[in-house]
Amino acid sequence: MTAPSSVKMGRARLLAAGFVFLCAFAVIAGRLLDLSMAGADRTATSLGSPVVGISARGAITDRNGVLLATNMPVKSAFVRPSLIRDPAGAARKIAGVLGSDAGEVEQRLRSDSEFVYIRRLLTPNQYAELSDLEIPGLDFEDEAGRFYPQGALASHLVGFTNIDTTGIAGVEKQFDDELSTGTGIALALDVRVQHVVRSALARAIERFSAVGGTGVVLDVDSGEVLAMVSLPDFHPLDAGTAPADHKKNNVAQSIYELGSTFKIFTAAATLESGRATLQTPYDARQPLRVGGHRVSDFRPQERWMTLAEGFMRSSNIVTGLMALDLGPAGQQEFMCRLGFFEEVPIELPERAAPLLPSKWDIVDSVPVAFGHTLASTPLHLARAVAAMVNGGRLPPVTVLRRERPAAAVAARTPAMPTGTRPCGTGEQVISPKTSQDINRLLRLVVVGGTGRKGNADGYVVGGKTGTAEKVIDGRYSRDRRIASFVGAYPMTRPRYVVSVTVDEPKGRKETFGFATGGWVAAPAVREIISRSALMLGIDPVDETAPAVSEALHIPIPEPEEIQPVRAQRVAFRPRQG
Amino acid sequence: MMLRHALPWSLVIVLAVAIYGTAHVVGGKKKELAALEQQIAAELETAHVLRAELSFLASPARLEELAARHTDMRPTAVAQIVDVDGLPAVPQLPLLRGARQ
Repeated sequence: MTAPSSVKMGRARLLAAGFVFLCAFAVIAGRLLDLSMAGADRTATSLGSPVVGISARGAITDRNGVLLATNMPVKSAFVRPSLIRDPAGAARKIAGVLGSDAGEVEQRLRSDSEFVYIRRLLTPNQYAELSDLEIPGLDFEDEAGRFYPQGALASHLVGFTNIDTTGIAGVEKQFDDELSTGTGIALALDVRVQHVVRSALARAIERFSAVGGTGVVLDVDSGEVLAMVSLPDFHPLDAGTAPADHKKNNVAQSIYELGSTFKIFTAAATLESGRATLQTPYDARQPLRVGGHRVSDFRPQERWMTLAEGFMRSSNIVTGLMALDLGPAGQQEFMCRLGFFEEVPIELPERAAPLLPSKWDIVDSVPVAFGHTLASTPLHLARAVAAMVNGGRLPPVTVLRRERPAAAVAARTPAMPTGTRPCGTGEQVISPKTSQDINRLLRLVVVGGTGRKGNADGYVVGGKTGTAEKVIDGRYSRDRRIASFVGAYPMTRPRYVVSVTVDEPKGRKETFGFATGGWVAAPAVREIISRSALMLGIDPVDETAPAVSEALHIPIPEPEEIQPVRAQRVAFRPRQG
Repeated sequence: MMLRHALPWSLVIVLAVAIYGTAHVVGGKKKELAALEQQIAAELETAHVLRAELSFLASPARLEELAARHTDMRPTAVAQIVDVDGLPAVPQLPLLRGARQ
């Protein structure tokens, strides 16, 4: 062995070892690169998408953004009965929070099963209070549920969903496509006005032991529904168990013969046709006999009176004479123009078409003139009255807040089957002059006629009362009535129509046994207007100021001043026999 | 000769370590981001719940009941609403004189 050779060998070994290390580090480096590159992808996928669920279905809000319906991570309360030590005590506490029957809760706590629901879809309050009880065995489960923060307040309008949060009634159903893709819906409704209407109506129903009622507030220009109440109502979360008649939206879905409020339309048609003016005298000396029927007044005056006075006193005779003068064709054409021949095209699945008289000749036109034999929804009435007071245009009624282009609203409005729109909508139905006359007539009714109890001080209310006998088993009932009042304000330039109907009110001692529209529904309208006008930005005015009172004044001549000129009834005498 | 081979290899190794280091830092930031995003989602959910709770607590029926129970407040009467023109101006003078004495 020589030194140079061992040096050579050492070098070779060093080289070999170096090469091995180099390869090893190269492998490590390669793996590092691999990890750096591939790792980036892996981290990205592990991030996942943001939490889904609560925003899966859009919220429904009122016109000011107050939530009416929203998806919520809801808690449901359940128990494992085997872990409950004191079922009676626990049941008492739980029932106290939920406001339910303790005995029924205890039964669940004593159940043999492993898992029993106490209450599904708790309100945030109930959840907080229940979890504060700290009862062992009582536990909570996460669910994505539909939550209605306003409870029963607007349940008919908002509607409800099934357990899979698919809309099955009201706005929830009508706009299910938009809502289910996360789009929010802003309604025209104002929860404050809705609450005022609901509580005023509930008070009237309770006071007169009635079975139900409706209330509507409509913007006369935009047709926006600011309040829509149907009583009795229901909590949307109890929709499954609520009785069917509670779930019926009586405003849009129930038809009634609405009585004397229809006299507005008879007067308008007469004035519009030019056949009469506010001062035209009518012969109301004795009841009108038409087709074997006797038409008399609630409080007979037995004298001549002007159209205006007849309207103020809600005279059936004067109204009947107007109808005879108008003729059935003219009346039909007019009612059709006001939308009484079709469903109200509103964005709600619950709608109803009016029921027209089966026969409608000259004799039948008389009961129609004062709101019998033609049954319609309270919404039909409110819309038609809006057209009477707003200058004569029939407004397109909408549940949506009007801010989007009108075209978008029109696109969402349900299409009517062809053939049911013989007279069109959204058009001028009476002249501004006739509308102005109607405003003065409506004001007259509240100042000196049957609607005095509807007068909300400062808001220049006008309106018309109605008391219709209900048809029970095909006959008009003497003691089952629909009392109504349809008002508008301020009559100097009407902005809102407020309509209230009360179903089967009973007379009271302090109302002298009366359960008429003037006694029952007018005070409710007064309460609604005086409590909600400020919310809607209507300032009170001095009603005695000449600018207000003179603009709306209609002179009522003394009975002896009226010149009897007309002799309409002669033409119809032969029918009596 | 060995140096000639070792230099590029070493460069590769150094770069690899540097890239790994950067990737590691980025990974950490991504975890931080994920945590933040989760926190945002949780906060949004809380805000959503609170908004619903506010709607529930501020419902007109509840406010009316609370106001009746805890305050003497009543619905505003028409007489309480005046505009500037309706405010009394002149009769204030005797009051002012009285205040100076």
